[in-house]
Amino acid sequence: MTADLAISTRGLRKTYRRFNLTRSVAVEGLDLDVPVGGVHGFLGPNGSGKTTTIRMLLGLIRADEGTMRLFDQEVPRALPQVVGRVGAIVEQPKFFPNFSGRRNLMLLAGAIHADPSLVDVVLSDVGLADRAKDRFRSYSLGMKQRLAIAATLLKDPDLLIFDEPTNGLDPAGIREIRGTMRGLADRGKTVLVSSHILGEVEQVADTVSIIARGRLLASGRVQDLIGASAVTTVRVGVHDPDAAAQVIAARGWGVRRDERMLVVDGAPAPAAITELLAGHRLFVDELVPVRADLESVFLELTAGQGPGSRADGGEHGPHGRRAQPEGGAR
Amino acid sequence: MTRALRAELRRIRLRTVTWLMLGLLLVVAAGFVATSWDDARPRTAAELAAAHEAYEDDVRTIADMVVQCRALREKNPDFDLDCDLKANPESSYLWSGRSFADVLASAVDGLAAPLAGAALVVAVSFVTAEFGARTIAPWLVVVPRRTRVVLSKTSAAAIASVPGAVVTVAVTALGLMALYAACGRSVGAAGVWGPVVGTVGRELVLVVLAAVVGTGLAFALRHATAVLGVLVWWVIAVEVTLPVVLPGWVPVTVATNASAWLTGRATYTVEQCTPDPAQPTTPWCQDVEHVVGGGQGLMALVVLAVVVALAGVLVFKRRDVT
Repeated sequence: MTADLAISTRGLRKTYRRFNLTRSVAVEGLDLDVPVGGVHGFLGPNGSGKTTTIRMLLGLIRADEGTMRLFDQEVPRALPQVVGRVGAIVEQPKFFPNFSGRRNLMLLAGAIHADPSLVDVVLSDVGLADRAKDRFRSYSLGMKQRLAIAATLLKDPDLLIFDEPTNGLDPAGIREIRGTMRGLADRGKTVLVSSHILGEVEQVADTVSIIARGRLLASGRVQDLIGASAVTTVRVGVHDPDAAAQVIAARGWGVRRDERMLVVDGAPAPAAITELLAGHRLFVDELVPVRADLESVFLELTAGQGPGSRADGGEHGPHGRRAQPEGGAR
Repeated sequence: MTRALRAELRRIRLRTVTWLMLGLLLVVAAGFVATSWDDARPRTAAELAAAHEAYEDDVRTIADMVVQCRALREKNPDFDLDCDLKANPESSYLWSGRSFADVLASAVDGLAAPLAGAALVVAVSFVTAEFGARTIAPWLVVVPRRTRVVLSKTSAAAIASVPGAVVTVAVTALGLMALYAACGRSVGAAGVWGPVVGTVGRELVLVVLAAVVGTGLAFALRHATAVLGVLVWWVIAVEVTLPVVLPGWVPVTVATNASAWLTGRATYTVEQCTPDPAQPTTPWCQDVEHVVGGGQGLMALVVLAVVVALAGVLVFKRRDVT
């Protein structure tokens, strides 16, 4: 456990008991490390244990086993000492529906001993100054989300935890929230954002952890994970695709036709394809490297982790894998 | 704690239910004043005439009786007849309504149940609304010590119940004073306020305990409907049925203890049967009166409030907040 981690969990486990006395494992031996600074994406399909993990970190639900630390302080025991450094939005923002946004924040400011003048500042920061006096119940989902972010900013926390912050938002709202998170990280804050929408996280996250069925499957820098996972795929346009396909297949690379293009897998680099084809006097018209993204990494990692299957760590071991810098992993 | 309490006080002050309950209490206060009109109002000319007529009738009847009495005494000198009959004063033929002191004492006594009920409703809704709206989770992120959350909310509900009760009593007293003064009746009798202040003080204690019970139940059960269910069960099983089935258990009822605390003593009877010395096979039964003192009543209410509050703390500390 080091001080450069904002969040660290080891062997975290949570089981829910249902009314029919069956048990449902929500989190199973989760080891999660979130470095200080930057945006950390906490990814996983619905029901993978993201919200449960966040709730355990915030002391809202009890862990059955394992340890959790926030800024190197063991929680929930030391939560009162460290909670001032943490702001969080868990699932949908919850405020008093009959109070205005401003009044809700004033109440909160009073409770955390924040300067009341900060309320107008944070409302302005999230673009709610004009609607500050309207009742919370009249807000759109995006406005509620922004009010929740404003509430977390009242404490000027070092760590902000956003659980599915863009659920239900329109594209403009999503972009706005993304910008807010990035801005916070650029100001030196640590932002943990959980989401099942990978493209959204990929655009803003510096590091990610991917979980399924309550277990960590992978974690590391986004580019490292993509690099570690990606098989080089290139779309090749050539005037004689059949001949080119034979040449490429003879080299042992994967190739298939996609209309008039060839899709080549396994080549060490796009240049190797042009070199090979040119050697056979087949000249490339078009060469498009197909970029791997977080979604493909995620799908690859969570294959077989859907409903009815059980995450067992698989080839990644019981605590998942960690991407090596510069694409060294796998 | 102080910060959390201040925030909770501010929150409870801003709640619609708080003001709605105060409004209802003021309606009750207005009701007490309105129903006192018959006591305070000046008598009508018809009532005065009827009273005068009744007095005149009695004077005539008594005069006839005196004549007959004297005639009888003259005929029978041995009879020791007192023929000095007189009609009652004319003022006694006109019901002039209860005095201000009596009406005020009666109204303040009658406010105890509404005040305690309102405190209970405000306290229960204050907590269950947070679970219902799921605002308790973000609040716990701000104030993670759950015992502190319970204490601050319970204290806020208890403190907030006092001004409403005081305002209600004050409005009732001022309303009655204004009514009696407007009707030309005396309101300044010596010794009026001492007993009333004592009763109000005891009612404030009851109101605070009701608020503590309300928050305790709300933290333990989380849903207003569940709290209502428990309260209905308690009333039916304990307050109504238990005294009938097991009269000796009457001292566990809230009604008996509250009555004892408010009035200084409450009584209940238990049938006790012993063998009849004359007929050993036949039991000889009699109702024996038992007394619950004011101190005992308060102690029972405090124990109830503490037990419910502790149950609330324990459940809230143990259960997950989702």
